[in-house]
Amino acid sequence: MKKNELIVEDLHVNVGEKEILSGVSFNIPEGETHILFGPNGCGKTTLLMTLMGFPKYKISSGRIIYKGVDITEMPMHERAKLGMGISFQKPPVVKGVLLKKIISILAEGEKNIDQKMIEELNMKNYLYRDLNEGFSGGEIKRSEMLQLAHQRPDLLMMDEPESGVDIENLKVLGNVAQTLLQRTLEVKIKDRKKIGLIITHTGYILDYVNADKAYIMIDGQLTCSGNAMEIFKEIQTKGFKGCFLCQTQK
Amino acid sequence: MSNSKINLSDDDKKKILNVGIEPDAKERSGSYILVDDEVKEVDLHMDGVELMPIHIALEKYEWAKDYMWKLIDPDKDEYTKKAYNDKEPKGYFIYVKPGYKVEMPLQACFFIKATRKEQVVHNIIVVDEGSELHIINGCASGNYVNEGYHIGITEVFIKKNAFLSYTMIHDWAPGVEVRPRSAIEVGENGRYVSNYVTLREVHLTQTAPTVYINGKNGKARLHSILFAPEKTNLQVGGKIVLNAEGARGDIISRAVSDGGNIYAPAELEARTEKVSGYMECSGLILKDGGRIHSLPALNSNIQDVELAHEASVGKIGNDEIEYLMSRGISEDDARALIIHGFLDLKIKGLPQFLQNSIDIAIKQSLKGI
Repeated sequence: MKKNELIVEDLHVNVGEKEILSGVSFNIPEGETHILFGPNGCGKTTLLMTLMGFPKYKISSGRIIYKGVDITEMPMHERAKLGMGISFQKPPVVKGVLLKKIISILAEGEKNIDQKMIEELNMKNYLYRDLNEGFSGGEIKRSEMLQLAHQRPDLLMMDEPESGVDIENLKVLGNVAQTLLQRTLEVKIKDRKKIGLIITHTGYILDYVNADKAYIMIDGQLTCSGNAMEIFKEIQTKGFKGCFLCQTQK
Repeated sequence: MSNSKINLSDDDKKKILNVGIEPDAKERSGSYILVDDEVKEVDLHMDGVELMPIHIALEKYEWAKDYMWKLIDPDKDEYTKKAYNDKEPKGYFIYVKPGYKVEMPLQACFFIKATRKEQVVHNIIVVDEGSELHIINGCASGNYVNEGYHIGITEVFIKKNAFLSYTMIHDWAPGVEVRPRSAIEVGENGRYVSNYVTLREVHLTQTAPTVYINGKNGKARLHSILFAPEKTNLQVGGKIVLNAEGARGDIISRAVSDGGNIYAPAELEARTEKVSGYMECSGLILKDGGRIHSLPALNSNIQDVELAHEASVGKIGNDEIEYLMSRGISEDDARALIIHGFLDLKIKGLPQFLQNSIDIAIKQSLKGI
């Protein structure tokens, strides 16, 4: 079995005529979780969607290697089968498909549904609702997390898992994310296999998930990387403007 | 019921199972089976209910004839005329005496075996005051029947405080034309729930039952679940006429065209004050070449009424399929999941075994999609 590692090489991605990602390279070694910061519209979501394999995002050059497999051309559902999972910021309503149905598919059978997780995420009353139908912002985040908890991916990608969530639910979501990413004290550092890539604006998720590394993305390129907390503090004090300046000074 | 009596092949038996008919009738309060023109089975084991071929009812009860052609005008069209002129009416007569609540459903099956058969039936259902009945009516024909015609007149009378649920599942064959003509009268505080399911190829099904709510606070709900494969023409509508104060009508339909045509005219007509109704018609077109023509109509000249409708026709969104694919579900499975869910109307107040029959019919029909 190949290592659970993600390698992204010089990725160029277009949406329609426009190039959104202009040469993105990074890798997430086994057991690590990385954070992606960046101003609105810089290409963060595009990177996640491209890694997952959404057809709208066209790779013009570059490669994605996951678990030693070149997945650049792999269909989305096969990537998921290989171990990739994503939580969306704004998932579509899927009429006719109940939340319960999807988690029982993900768990490979109704009997495997994690009742404790449902309680923890407070989603009991949503199981018989159509997926995302009339869900509030916070409900969407919890539903996405519940789905990931049943899918148990080896690579978790989360697109702003905490935006629009109140403090109480933030704690719940943070704790579940921490568990799914094996960032709790119960899992010895040497035993950690899962990897994560998280987009955050507020940085709140950092209170729950100790990240190994962070990147700043500006205009479709990773311009800076380093310690997650350090970078976050820098952004808080100087804003992304500071990042621009820092880059141009170079 | 002995299987030898109805003498159907294993394939034909499978077909009647698909339309909710149990050959051994274990979980049924009674059973009526008509194959072509021949009544093969009249079996009843329940107090308070009468079930018999209509011609016997007309001999037995003086009053039975008063219900014939009471709600449907024989001159409505050439098919009603044909049924009116039929000297030996086939079909069933069901009567529930006042105050009897029959929990187990009564099953009726119309089956066409002979090619070029014209099956004409006239059914009368009377649910008397305070009683309750569930009917499952399965209609099918052998897959080998390449030409066949079914004309069905059904007149239903639901008296004060009575309740009837009427579930009809159709599974005809490609060359068959079906023209049910139904009308229902609902009395004071009476309730009528109908579920119409057709999921397989049929040359033509043409029906538009009309419900007249003539008693105060009477209620009616019409559900239809329609799936039209290629070479299928479904003209399935429905109308509820709100004639008494407090009357409530709901029409809910789910239509999927997989290359076939669906024409679905639905109407709520409010003829008096303080009535309400709601209509929801949703359509999915799976591929080019098929058509869904949905006509939801609200009709009133009275101020104090509440009528509303929601209607949509469209395709399955790519974003929905991709969302499911990102969870590891293949494109085909994602599509099937959405279609199945779309047709899976969970019908309020329907006994579980009837819901199960509908679920089975959907599952069987969507195999391979």
